[in-house]
Amino acid sequence: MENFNTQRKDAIADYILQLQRQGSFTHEDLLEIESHLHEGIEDLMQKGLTWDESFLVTQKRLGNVKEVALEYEKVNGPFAGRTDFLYLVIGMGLFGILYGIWNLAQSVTWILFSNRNIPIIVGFLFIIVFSITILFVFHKFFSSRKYLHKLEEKYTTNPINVGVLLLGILIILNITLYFLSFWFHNIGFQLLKFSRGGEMGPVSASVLDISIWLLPVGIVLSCLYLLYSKGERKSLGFLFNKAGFVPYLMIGFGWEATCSLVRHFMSTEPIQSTSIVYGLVFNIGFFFLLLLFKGKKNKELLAFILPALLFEGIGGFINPALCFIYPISQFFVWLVVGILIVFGVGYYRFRDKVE
Amino acid sequence: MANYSKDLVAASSIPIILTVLQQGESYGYEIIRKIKEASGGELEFAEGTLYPILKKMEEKKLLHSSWKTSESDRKRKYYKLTSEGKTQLKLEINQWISINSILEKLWKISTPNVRMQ
Repeated sequence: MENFNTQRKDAIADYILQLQRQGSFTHEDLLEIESHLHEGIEDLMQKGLTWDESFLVTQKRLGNVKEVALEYEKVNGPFAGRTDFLYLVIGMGLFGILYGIWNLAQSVTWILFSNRNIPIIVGFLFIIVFSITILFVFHKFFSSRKYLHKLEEKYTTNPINVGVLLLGILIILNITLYFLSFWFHNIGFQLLKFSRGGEMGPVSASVLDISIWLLPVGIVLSCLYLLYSKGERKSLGFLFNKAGFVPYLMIGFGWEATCSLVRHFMSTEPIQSTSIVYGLVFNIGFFFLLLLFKGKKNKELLAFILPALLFEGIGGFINPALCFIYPISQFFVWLVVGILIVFGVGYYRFRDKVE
Repeated sequence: MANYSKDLVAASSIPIILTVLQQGESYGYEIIRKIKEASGGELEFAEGTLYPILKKMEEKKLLHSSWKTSESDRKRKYYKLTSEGKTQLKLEINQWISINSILEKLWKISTPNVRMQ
Protein backbone atom coordinates (compact mmCIF):
# COMPACT_ATOMS: atom_id res chain seq x y z
CA MET A 1 0.00 0.00 0.00
CA GLU A 2 2.79 2.33 0.96
CA ASN A 3 4.46 1.44 -2.32
CA PHE A 4 1.30 2.47 -4.18
CA ASN A 5 1.20 5.79 -2.39
CA THR A 6 4.83 6.45 -3.26
CA GLN A 7 4.18 5.64 -6.91
CA ARG A 8 1.21 8.01 -6.95
CA LYS A 9 3.20 10.79 -5.34
CA ASP A 10 5.97 10.18 -7.89
CA ALA A 11 3.48 10.35 -10.79
CA ILE A 12 2.24 13.76 -9.61
CA ALA A 13 5.77 14.97 -8.91
CA ASP A 14 6.87 13.88 -12.41
CA TYR A 15 4.07 15.86 -14.01
CA ILE A 16 4.89 18.95 -11.95
CA LEU A 17 8.56 18.55 -12.92
CA GLN A 18 7.56 18.45 -16.59
CA LEU A 19 5.77 21.76 -16.13
CA GLN A 20 8.65 23.20 -14.17
CA ARG A 21 11.08 22.40 -16.95
CA GLN A 22 9.11 24.61 -19.30
CA GLY A 23 10.42 27.50 -17.23
CA SER A 24 7.28 29.65 -17.19
CA PHE A 25 5.87 28.74 -13.79
CA THR A 26 6.53 30.26 -10.41
CA HIS A 27 6.59 28.10 -7.30
CA GLU A 28 3.07 29.19 -6.37
CA ASP A 29 1.73 28.39 -9.86
CA LEU A 30 3.02 24.85 -9.51
CA LEU A 31 1.46 24.47 -6.06
CA GLU A 32 -1.87 25.58 -7.50
CA ILE A 33 -1.68 23.08 -10.36
CA GLU A 34 -0.69 20.33 -7.95
CA SER A 35 -3.72 21.19 -5.82
CA HIS A 36 -5.86 21.05 -9.01
CA LEU A 37 -4.51 17.56 -9.78
CA HIS A 38 -5.46 16.31 -6.31
CA GLU A 39 -8.96 17.83 -6.58
CA GLY A 40 -9.46 16.30 -10.02
CA ILE A 41 -8.28 12.85 -8.97
CA GLU A 42 -10.46 12.85 -5.85
CA ASP A 43 -13.48 14.07 -7.80
CA LEU A 44 -13.16 11.41 -10.51
CA MET A 45 -12.48 8.62 -8.01
CA GLN A 46 -15.78 9.49 -6.31
CA LYS A 47 -17.39 8.92 -9.71
CA GLY A 48 -15.97 5.39 -9.80
CA LEU A 49 -12.69 5.73 -11.71
CA THR A 50 -9.48 4.17 -10.41
CA TRP A 51 -6.60 6.36 -9.20
CA ASP A 52 -4.61 5.81 -12.39
CA GLU A 53 -7.58 6.59 -14.63
CA SER A 54 -8.45 9.68 -12.61
CA PHE A 55 -4.86 10.90 -12.80
CA LEU A 56 -4.70 10.44 -16.57
CA VAL A 57 -8.02 12.18 -17.17
CA THR A 58 -7.16 15.12 -14.89
CA GLN A 59 -3.77 15.46 -16.51
CA LYS A 60 -5.34 15.41 -19.99
CA ARG A 61 -7.94 17.99 -19.00
CA LEU A 62 -5.24 20.33 -17.76
CA GLY A 63 -4.04 20.48 -21.35
CA ASN A 64 -0.87 20.10 -23.33
CA VAL A 65 2.14 21.00 -21.18
CA LYS A 66 3.63 23.31 -23.80
CA GLU A 67 0.34 25.12 -24.44
CA VAL A 68 -0.28 25.67 -20.75
CA ALA A 69 3.31 26.89 -20.31
CA LEU A 70 2.83 29.34 -23.16
CA GLU A 71 -0.24 30.82 -21.45
CA TYR A 72 1.69 31.20 -18.20
CA GLU A 73 4.58 32.76 -20.06
CA LYS A 74 2.23 35.51 -21.31
CA VAL A 75 1.51 36.43 -17.70
CA ASN A 76 4.78 35.62 -15.95
CA GLY A 77 7.30 36.53 -18.62
CA PRO A 78 9.91 34.20 -20.10
CA PHE A 79 12.10 33.96 -17.00
CA ALA A 80 9.50 33.27 -14.32
CA GLY A 81 10.48 29.71 -13.61
CA ARG A 82 14.08 30.29 -14.51
CA THR A 83 14.94 30.60 -10.92
CA ASP A 84 18.49 30.13 -12.16
CA PHE A 85 18.77 33.87 -12.38
CA LEU A 86 17.73 34.31 -8.80
CA TYR A 87 19.80 31.41 -7.57
CA LEU A 88 22.85 32.69 -9.40
CA VAL A 89 22.57 35.95 -7.50
CA ILE A 90 22.34 34.04 -4.25
CA GLY A 91 25.11 31.75 -5.47
CA MET A 92 27.36 34.70 -6.19
CA GLY A 93 27.04 35.97 -2.68
CA LEU A 94 27.28 32.59 -1.05
CA PHE A 95 30.31 31.34 -2.86
CA GLY A 96 32.23 34.50 -2.05
CA ILE A 97 31.06 34.33 1.54
CA LEU A 98 32.02 30.66 1.88
CA TYR A 99 35.48 31.42 0.63
CA GLY A 100 35.67 34.30 3.07
CA ILE A 101 34.62 32.03 5.92
CA TRP A 102 37.52 29.75 5.12
CA ASN A 103 39.91 32.67 5.16
CA LEU A 104 38.35 34.01 8.33
CA ALA A 105 38.88 30.64 10.00
CA GLN A 106 42.54 30.82 9.09
CA SER A 107 42.79 34.38 10.33
CA VAL A 108 41.23 33.50 13.67
CA THR A 109 43.62 30.56 13.90
CA TRP A 110 46.53 32.83 13.14
CA ILE A 111 45.44 35.28 15.84
CA LEU A 112 44.90 32.58 18.43
CA PHE A 113 47.86 30.32 17.76
CA SER A 114 50.64 32.39 16.24
CA ASN A 115 53.72 32.89 18.39
CA ARG A 116 52.50 30.28 20.85
CA ASN A 117 54.44 27.30 19.52
CA ILE A 118 51.30 25.27 18.96
CA PRO A 119 51.68 22.42 16.43
CA ILE A 120 50.44 23.18 12.92
CA ILE A 121 47.96 20.29 13.09
CA VAL A 122 46.08 21.99 15.95
CA GLY A 123 45.71 25.06 13.75
CA PHE A 124 44.34 22.95 10.90
CA LEU A 125 41.90 21.18 13.20
CA PHE A 126 40.71 24.53 14.49
CA ILE A 127 40.17 25.77 10.92
CA ILE A 128 38.11 22.70 10.12
CA VAL A 129 35.96 22.93 13.25
CA PHE A 130 35.46 26.66 12.76
CA SER A 131 34.47 26.28 9.10
CA ILE A 132 32.17 23.33 9.77
CA THR A 133 30.39 25.26 12.52
CA ILE A 134 29.75 28.27 10.29
CA LEU A 135 28.73 26.14 7.31
CA PHE A 136 26.44 24.14 9.56
CA VAL A 137 24.68 27.34 10.61
CA PHE A 138 24.32 28.27 6.91
CA HIS A 139 23.01 24.80 6.18
CA LYS A 140 20.42 24.96 8.96
CA PHE A 141 19.36 28.46 7.97
CA PHE A 142 18.78 27.68 4.32
CA SER A 143 17.85 24.00 4.37
CA SER A 144 14.12 24.68 4.65
CA ARG A 145 14.61 27.03 1.72
CA LYS A 146 11.46 28.97 2.55
CA TYR A 147 13.61 32.10 2.37
CA LEU A 148 14.60 31.22 -1.19
CA HIS A 149 11.00 30.53 -2.14
CA LYS A 150 9.89 33.87 -0.75
CA LEU A 151 12.52 35.62 -2.82
CA GLU A 152 11.51 33.62 -5.87
CA GLU A 153 7.88 34.57 -5.55
CA LYS A 154 8.71 38.20 -5.16
CA TYR A 155 11.33 38.64 -7.81
CA THR A 156 11.01 36.05 -10.54
CA THR A 157 7.84 37.26 -12.17
CA ASN A 158 9.73 39.88 -14.11
CA PRO A 159 13.27 39.65 -15.51
CA ILE A 160 13.80 43.34 -14.82
CA ASN A 161 13.22 42.69 -11.13
CA VAL A 162 15.84 39.97 -11.24
CA GLY A 163 18.30 42.34 -12.90
CA VAL A 164 17.63 45.01 -10.29
CA LEU A 165 17.99 42.47 -7.52
CA LEU A 166 21.27 41.24 -8.98
CA LEU A 167 22.74 44.71 -9.10
CA GLY A 168 21.29 45.68 -5.74
CA ILE A 169 22.69 42.71 -3.85
CA LEU A 170 26.10 42.99 -5.47
CA ILE A 171 26.45 46.69 -4.91
CA ILE A 172 25.27 46.57 -1.30
CA LEU A 173 27.42 43.54 -0.47
CA ASN A 174 30.51 44.92 -2.11
CA ILE A 175 30.29 48.38 -0.65
CA THR A 176 29.49 47.04 2.82
CA LEU A 177 32.31 44.53 2.75
CA TYR A 178 34.72 47.03 1.27
CA PHE A 179 34.16 49.45 4.14
CA LEU A 180 34.03 46.66 6.69
CA SER A 181 37.45 45.51 5.58
CA PHE A 182 38.90 48.93 6.32
CA TRP A 183 37.06 49.06 9.60
CA PHE A 184 38.72 45.77 10.57
CA HIS A 185 41.96 47.15 9.20
CA ASN A 186 41.81 50.14 11.54
CA ILE A 187 40.85 48.01 14.49
CA GLY A 188 43.82 45.83 13.62
CA PHE A 189 46.11 48.80 13.83
CA GLN A 190 44.70 50.53 16.85
CA LEU A 191 43.19 47.96 19.16
CA LEU A 192 44.08 44.37 18.55
CA LYS A 193 47.30 44.86 16.61
CA PHE A 194 46.49 42.16 14.08
CA SER A 195 48.61 43.86 11.47
CA ARG A 196 52.33 44.03 11.11
CA GLY A 197 54.35 46.78 9.47
CA GLY A 198 51.46 48.58 7.84
CA GLU A 199 50.24 45.41 6.09
CA MET A 200 46.56 44.72 6.21
CA GLY A 201 45.70 42.35 9.08
CA PRO A 202 44.37 38.86 8.35
CA VAL A 203 40.79 39.58 9.39
CA SER A 204 40.50 42.71 7.29
CA ALA A 205 42.24 40.94 4.41
CA SER A 206 39.70 38.10 4.63
CA VAL A 207 36.78 40.47 4.50
CA LEU A 208 38.36 42.36 1.62
CA ASP A 209 38.86 39.01 -0.10
CA ILE A 210 35.14 38.31 0.15
CA SER A 211 34.43 41.68 -1.36
CA ILE A 212 36.95 41.43 -4.20
CA TRP A 213 36.25 37.82 -5.12
CA LEU A 214 32.50 38.01 -4.86
CA LEU A 215 32.03 39.12 -8.44
CA PRO A 216 34.56 37.10 -10.43
CA VAL A 217 33.67 33.93 -8.55
CA GLY A 218 30.02 34.66 -8.97
CA ILE A 219 30.48 35.17 -12.70
CA VAL A 220 32.17 31.80 -13.18
CA LEU A 221 29.68 30.02 -10.93
CA SER A 222 26.72 31.67 -12.58
CA CYS A 223 27.80 30.89 -16.12
CA LEU A 224 28.53 27.27 -15.33
CA TYR A 225 25.35 26.98 -13.40
CA LEU A 226 23.29 28.44 -16.25
CA LEU A 227 24.94 26.09 -18.70
CA TYR A 228 24.66 22.94 -16.63
CA SER A 229 21.45 23.25 -14.68
CA LYS A 230 18.14 22.18 -16.10
CA GLY A 231 16.26 24.93 -14.36
CA GLU A 232 15.00 22.57 -11.71
CA ARG A 233 13.84 23.87 -8.42
CA LYS A 234 16.29 21.98 -6.29
CA SER A 235 19.01 24.10 -7.89
CA LEU A 236 21.65 25.42 -5.53
CA GLY A 237 19.82 23.88 -2.59
CA PHE A 238 22.54 21.27 -2.94
CA LEU A 239 25.02 23.84 -1.67
CA PHE A 240 23.47 23.33 1.72
CA ASN A 241 23.26 19.59 1.75
CA LYS A 242 26.10 17.18 2.19
CA ALA A 243 26.81 17.01 -1.54
CA GLY A 244 27.93 20.62 -1.61
CA PHE A 245 28.97 21.02 1.99
CA VAL A 246 31.69 18.39 2.21
CA PRO A 247 33.35 18.91 -1.20
CA TYR A 248 33.74 22.60 -0.58
CA LEU A 249 35.32 22.02 2.76
CA MET A 250 37.60 19.35 1.28
CA ILE A 251 38.67 21.57 -1.58
CA GLY A 252 39.38 24.45 0.72
CA PHE A 253 41.20 22.28 3.20
CA GLY A 254 43.09 20.28 0.57
CA TRP A 255 44.16 23.40 -1.19
CA GLU A 256 45.37 25.25 1.84
CA ALA A 257 46.97 22.20 3.41
CA THR A 258 48.88 21.33 0.24
CA CYS A 259 50.07 24.89 -0.28
CA SER A 260 51.16 25.21 3.35
CA LEU A 261 52.99 21.89 3.33
CA VAL A 262 54.81 22.80 0.11
CA ARG A 263 55.84 26.11 1.63
CA HIS A 264 56.86 24.35 4.83
CA PHE A 265 59.05 21.71 3.17
CA MET A 266 60.61 24.01 0.60
CA SER A 267 61.20 26.64 3.27
CA THR A 268 61.07 29.48 0.80
CA GLU A 269 58.58 32.30 0.66
CA PRO A 270 56.91 33.11 -1.63
CA ILE A 271 56.74 30.10 -3.92
CA GLN A 272 53.29 30.90 -5.10
CA SER A 273 53.34 29.12 -8.46
CA THR A 274 54.83 25.86 -7.14
CA SER A 275 52.34 25.59 -4.30
CA ILE A 276 49.50 26.44 -6.64
CA VAL A 277 50.48 23.60 -8.97
CA TYR A 278 50.57 21.15 -6.06
CA GLY A 279 47.23 22.44 -4.75
CA LEU A 280 45.69 22.14 -8.18
CA VAL A 281 46.93 18.56 -8.59
CA PHE A 282 45.45 17.66 -5.22
CA ASN A 283 42.09 19.18 -6.05
CA ILE A 284 41.84 17.65 -9.51
CA GLY A 285 42.62 14.29 -7.95
CA PHE A 286 39.98 14.88 -5.31
CA PHE A 287 37.50 15.98 -7.95
CA PHE A 288 37.90 12.74 -9.93
CA LEU A 289 37.62 10.77 -6.72
CA LEU A 290 34.32 12.49 -6.06
CA LEU A 291 33.08 11.74 -9.56
CA LEU A 292 33.96 8.11 -8.97
CA PHE A 293 31.78 7.98 -5.89
CA LYS A 294 29.00 10.32 -6.90
CA GLY A 295 28.65 9.21 -10.54
CA LYS A 296 29.28 11.30 -13.58
CA LYS A 297 25.67 12.32 -13.83
CA ASN A 298 25.88 14.65 -10.90
CA LYS A 299 26.13 17.81 -12.94
CA GLU A 300 25.07 20.06 -10.14
CA LEU A 301 28.12 19.00 -8.23
CA LEU A 302 30.21 19.58 -11.32
CA ALA A 303 28.78 23.07 -11.67
CA PHE A 304 29.79 23.75 -8.11
CA ILE A 305 33.24 22.19 -8.06
CA LEU A 306 34.50 23.53 -11.37
CA PRO A 307 34.18 27.15 -10.33
CA ALA A 308 35.87 26.28 -7.05
CA LEU A 309 38.77 24.75 -8.95
CA LEU A 310 38.98 27.63 -11.39
CA PHE A 311 38.78 30.04 -8.54
CA GLU A 312 41.49 28.39 -6.49
CA GLY A 313 43.72 27.60 -9.45
CA ILE A 314 43.49 30.43 -11.96
CA GLY A 315 42.64 32.87 -9.18
CA GLY A 316 45.87 31.99 -7.44
CA PHE A 317 47.85 33.06 -10.50
CA ILE A 318 45.96 36.26 -11.30
CA ASN A 319 45.36 37.49 -7.77
CA PRO A 320 48.87 38.93 -7.24
CA ALA A 321 48.55 40.75 -10.56
CA LEU A 322 45.16 42.17 -9.65
CA CYS A 323 46.38 43.39 -6.27
CA PHE A 324 48.09 46.26 -8.03
CA ILE A 325 44.74 47.60 -9.07
CA TYR A 326 42.89 49.62 -6.49
CA PRO A 327 40.14 47.30 -5.18
CA ILE A 328 37.23 49.61 -5.87
CA SER A 329 38.18 49.91 -9.55
CA GLN A 330 38.42 46.10 -9.70
CA PHE A 331 34.87 46.06 -8.44
CA PHE A 332 33.58 48.23 -11.27
CA VAL A 333 35.53 46.33 -13.91
CA TRP A 334 34.17 43.01 -12.65
CA LEU A 335 30.69 44.44 -12.31
CA VAL A 336 30.50 45.51 -15.95
CA VAL A 337 32.23 42.39 -17.25
CA GLY A 338 30.11 40.24 -14.97
CA ILE A 339 26.79 41.62 -16.08
CA LEU A 340 27.76 41.26 -19.73
CA ILE A 341 29.01 37.69 -19.33
CA VAL A 342 26.23 36.42 -17.08
CA PHE A 343 23.43 37.90 -19.13
CA GLY A 344 25.17 36.81 -22.33
CA VAL A 345 25.35 33.23 -21.12
CA GLY A 346 21.81 33.48 -19.76
CA TYR A 347 20.58 34.64 -23.16
CA TYR A 348 22.51 31.88 -24.95
CA ARG A 349 21.13 29.25 -22.59
CA PHE A 350 17.53 30.41 -22.77
CA ARG A 351 17.50 32.11 -26.17
CA ASP A 352 14.57 30.00 -27.29
CA LYS A 353 12.59 31.42 -24.39
CA VAL A 354 13.32 35.06 -25.13
CA GLU A 355 10.94 36.64 -27.59
CA MET B 1 -21.11 19.80 -28.41
CA ALA B 2 -20.74 23.36 -29.60
CA ASN B 3 -17.32 24.01 -31.07
CA TYR B 4 -16.45 27.45 -29.76
CA SER B 5 -13.52 29.21 -31.37
CA LYS B 6 -10.43 29.78 -29.22
CA ASP B 7 -10.78 33.54 -29.64
CA LEU B 8 -14.37 33.52 -28.44
CA VAL B 9 -13.49 31.40 -25.41
CA ALA B 10 -10.58 33.74 -24.63
CA ALA B 11 -12.74 36.86 -24.98
CA SER B 12 -15.51 35.50 -22.80
CA SER B 13 -13.31 33.99 -20.11
CA ILE B 14 -13.01 37.15 -18.00
CA PRO B 15 -16.77 37.92 -17.83
CA ILE B 16 -17.48 34.23 -17.16
CA ILE B 17 -14.99 34.06 -14.28
CA LEU B 18 -16.25 37.35 -12.85
CA THR B 19 -19.82 36.03 -12.98
CA VAL B 20 -18.90 32.75 -11.26
CA LEU B 21 -17.05 34.59 -8.51
CA GLN B 22 -19.97 36.96 -8.01
CA GLN B 23 -21.67 34.01 -6.29
CA GLY B 24 -18.89 33.94 -3.70
CA GLU B 25 -15.22 33.06 -3.34
CA SER B 26 -14.02 29.92 -5.05
CA TYR B 27 -10.90 27.99 -6.11
CA GLY B 28 -9.69 26.97 -9.58
CA TYR B 29 -11.13 23.48 -9.76
CA GLU B 30 -14.53 24.60 -8.47
CA ILE B 31 -14.63 27.56 -10.90
CA ILE B 32 -14.02 25.15 -13.80
CA ARG B 33 -16.72 22.78 -12.53
CA LYS B 34 -19.24 25.64 -12.25
CA ILE B 35 -18.45 26.84 -15.79
CA LYS B 36 -18.93 23.32 -17.14
CA GLU B 37 -22.21 22.90 -15.29
CA ALA B 38 -23.52 26.28 -16.50
CA SER B 39 -22.65 25.46 -20.11
CA GLY B 40 -24.07 21.94 -19.84
CA GLY B 41 -20.59 20.62 -20.62
CA GLU B 42 -20.48 22.52 -23.90
CA LEU B 43 -17.70 24.92 -23.01
CA GLU B 44 -14.54 22.82 -22.95
CA PHE B 45 -11.09 24.32 -22.60
CA ALA B 46 -7.65 23.29 -21.36
CA GLU B 47 -8.13 23.61 -17.62
CA GLY B 48 -4.51 24.59 -17.09
CA THR B 49 -5.06 27.77 -19.07
CA LEU B 50 -7.63 29.06 -16.54
CA TYR B 51 -4.97 29.73 -13.92
CA PRO B 52 -2.92 32.23 -15.93
CA ILE B 53 -6.18 34.10 -16.65
CA LEU B 54 -6.96 34.21 -12.93
CA LYS B 55 -3.44 35.44 -12.33
CA LYS B 56 -3.77 38.16 -14.94
CA MET B 57 -7.10 39.23 -13.41
CA GLU B 58 -5.46 39.37 -10.00
CA GLU B 59 -2.69 41.56 -11.40
CA LYS B 60 -5.37 43.90 -12.73
CA LYS B 61 -6.79 43.92 -9.18
CA LEU B 62 -10.10 42.45 -10.33
CA LEU B 63 -9.60 39.50 -7.96
CA HIS B 64 -7.99 38.88 -4.63
CA SER B 65 -6.49 35.49 -3.79
CA SER B 66 -5.54 33.74 -0.57
CA TRP B 67 -4.38 30.22 0.35
CA LYS B 68 -6.69 28.34 2.69
CA THR B 69 -6.78 24.80 4.00
CA SER B 70 -9.86 22.78 3.08
CA GLU B 71 -11.77 20.38 5.38
CA SER B 72 -9.82 17.53 3.78
CA ASP B 73 -6.61 19.27 4.89
CA ARG B 74 -5.72 20.31 1.35
CA LYS B 75 -4.33 23.70 0.48
CA ARG B 76 -6.40 25.65 -2.01
CA LYS B 77 -5.96 29.06 -3.53
CA TYR B 78 -9.28 30.90 -3.19
CA TYR B 79 -10.24 33.83 -5.38
CA LYS B 80 -12.83 36.49 -4.66
CA LEU B 81 -14.01 39.62 -6.43
CA THR B 82 -12.59 42.97 -5.44
CA SER B 83 -14.62 46.18 -5.74
CA GLU B 84 -12.81 46.82 -9.05
CA GLY B 85 -13.86 43.32 -10.12
CA LYS B 86 -17.50 44.04 -9.31
CA THR B 87 -17.36 47.29 -11.31
CA GLN B 88 -15.68 45.43 -14.19
CA LEU B 89 -18.43 42.79 -14.11
CA LYS B 90 -21.13 45.48 -14.50
CA LEU B 91 -19.16 46.94 -17.41
CA GLU B 92 -18.75 43.53 -19.03
CA ILE B 93 -22.46 42.73 -18.66
CA ASN B 94 -23.40 46.02 -20.37
CA GLN B 95 -20.86 45.45 -23.15
CA TRP B 96 -21.91 41.86 -23.85
CA ILE B 97 -25.63 42.80 -23.85
CA SER B 98 -24.83 45.66 -26.18
CA ILE B 99 -22.79 43.46 -28.56
CA ASN B 100 -25.50 40.82 -28.43
CA SER B 101 -28.23 43.33 -29.37
CA ILE B 102 -26.08 44.74 -32.20
CA LEU B 103 -25.56 41.25 -33.59
CA GLU B 104 -29.25 40.39 -33.27
CA LYS B 105 -30.25 43.53 -35.12
CA LEU B 106 -27.72 42.86 -37.90
CA TRP B 107 -28.77 39.23 -38.22
CA LYS B 108 -32.44 40.24 -38.50
CA ILE B 109 -31.60 42.63 -41.35
CA SER B 110 -29.19 40.54 -43.38
CA THR B 111 -30.21 36.96 -42.69
CA PRO B 112 -33.63 36.80 -41.08
CA ASN B 113 -33.56 33.02 -40.70
CA VAL B 114 -30.06 32.68 -39.32
CA ARG B 115 -31.22 31.76 -35.82
CA MET B 116 -33.50 29.08 -37.20
CA GLN B 117 -30.61 27.39 -38.94
